[in-house]
Amino acid sequence: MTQSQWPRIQTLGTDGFVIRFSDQLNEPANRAALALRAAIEVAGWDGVEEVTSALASTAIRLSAFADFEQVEDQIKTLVLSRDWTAEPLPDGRRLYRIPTVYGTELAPQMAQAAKAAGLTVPEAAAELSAARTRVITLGFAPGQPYLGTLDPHWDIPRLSQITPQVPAGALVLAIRQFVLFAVANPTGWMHVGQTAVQLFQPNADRAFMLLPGDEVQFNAVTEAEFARYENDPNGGAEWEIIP
Amino acid sequence: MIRILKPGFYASVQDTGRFGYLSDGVGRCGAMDALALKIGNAAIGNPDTAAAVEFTFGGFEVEATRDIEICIGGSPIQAKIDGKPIHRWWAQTLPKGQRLSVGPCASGMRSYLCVAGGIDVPTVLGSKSTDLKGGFGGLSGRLLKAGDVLDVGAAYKGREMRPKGLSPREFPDLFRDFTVCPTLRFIPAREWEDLNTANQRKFLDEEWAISPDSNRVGYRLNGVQICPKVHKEMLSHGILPGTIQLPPSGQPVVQMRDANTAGGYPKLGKVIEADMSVLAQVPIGKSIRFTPCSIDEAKIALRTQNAQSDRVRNIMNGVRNIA
Repeated sequence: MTQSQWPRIQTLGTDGFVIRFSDQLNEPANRAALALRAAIEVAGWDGVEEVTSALASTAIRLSAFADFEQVEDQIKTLVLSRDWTAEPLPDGRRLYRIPTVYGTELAPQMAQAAKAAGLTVPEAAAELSAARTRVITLGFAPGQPYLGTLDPHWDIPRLSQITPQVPAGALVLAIRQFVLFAVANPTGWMHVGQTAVQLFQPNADRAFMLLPGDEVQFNAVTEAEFARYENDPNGGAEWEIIP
Repeated sequence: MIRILKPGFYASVQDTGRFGYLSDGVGRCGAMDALALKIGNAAIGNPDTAAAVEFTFGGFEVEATRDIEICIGGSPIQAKIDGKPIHRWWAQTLPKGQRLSVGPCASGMRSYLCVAGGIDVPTVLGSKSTDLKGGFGGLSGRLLKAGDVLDVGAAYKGREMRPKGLSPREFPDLFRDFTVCPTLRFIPAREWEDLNTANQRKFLDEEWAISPDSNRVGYRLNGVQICPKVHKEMLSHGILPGTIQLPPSGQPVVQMRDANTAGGYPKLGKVIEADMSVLAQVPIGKSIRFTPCSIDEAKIALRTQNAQSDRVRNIMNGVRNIA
């Protein structure tokens, strides 16, 4: 597959377009998706109702009666105007430190995940606790982040058996990514940690704690420490602006 | 206020949906049959977007705590107010203390109870729709249950009116038979080209049965197996209601109003917005077919459909002026 095939502009029915930067998750493609989304939001084209970004793509939803061809021309011009994979990340991103219990009965699949990564549980906890991961995209549930990318030995498969339910605040891991659960849901990923954060607070000024581009460190805490955060909607999380 | 006496199988508060939060992982939600919601609202003088109660398979019962103008739209149903039969697509008063009861429905899926002034629940992220997966919006983010009481917004006027409604002659679309294998139009997507001609033909010629394993999130379709020329492992990307996906099983899935905001299966196309209302009403086990269409055709279809609520407003206002 040659470089020149990317990015690709494709239609999403009558709803708009998707611009894909890669068929694999990589840092430049995710950065390109975030940067193009920000640029389209700033451009304020007629008929554009919503711009979204996923792992390696940006999608545009148009109003039902937008001038489809005009927007397609505008997208082509903008997309070809620069190398989006070389664009910087947006300003104002936050670094969060979220207290996390690894393993124990709160996160029963830690041992299995550590083994799949070729580590002991303490080694795995130390590594995951030190890892600084970026919110690649939000998806599936309100404000629910996909975070990555972990080191290659964390390229562990999804479970063949779906876990019927993990609680809100569950930190799950597969294919070099974390997902931090916003609401209780089934999952095929391994439940390695538990946090007390409520990612989605519909009535707060910032309804979604984490936004694409933010970074997170899931710092290991003991169960006793974790218990202190259980009534804090922010789960003891602290943040600072990334300079 | 409206008191829910029997919610039936699956009832929730829905409006036309929640827009602008896909990037935050928040889906659209909203009425499965958006046309029925808009027409029902138009019939009683609400904005198209007012919230209503979406009931599934009929079999529900409610009562009013004051005189409330209502219109029931959507699937064919047998409805009564205190035992006296009433029509679908008619605006009429549900008098204080009287019961509206609706029998089970086998020839459609979803009914909408529209009330003058709209169902008044808090607006969350720009919409009153219930997001059942996210557990917010609507009434406490959940399905309705017996005993729930729903506030009703202020109607534009409170006088009692004679029942007036829409006829099948004027609005054949609203009275169509959903059990006779409707043909849904779709716009082919990128991976449509990954099917060879034989598999494309199979998809178009086959009647696809709606699997019992279908819900507001997605409809699974049962039929012949569709095989792409090559198997593609794709990254998750943004998807929308109407997206037709082809999972490895070879049995297509159509994403519905509660669709996840992202997915990774190859996409054959997207059912056009105007036909989503029909799909929302095809009973479980009954069949549909697909035919490709152009973007222009899809836009015209939606424009024609949207014009119907204006016609309804004109007709109802005209009749009211005479009365």
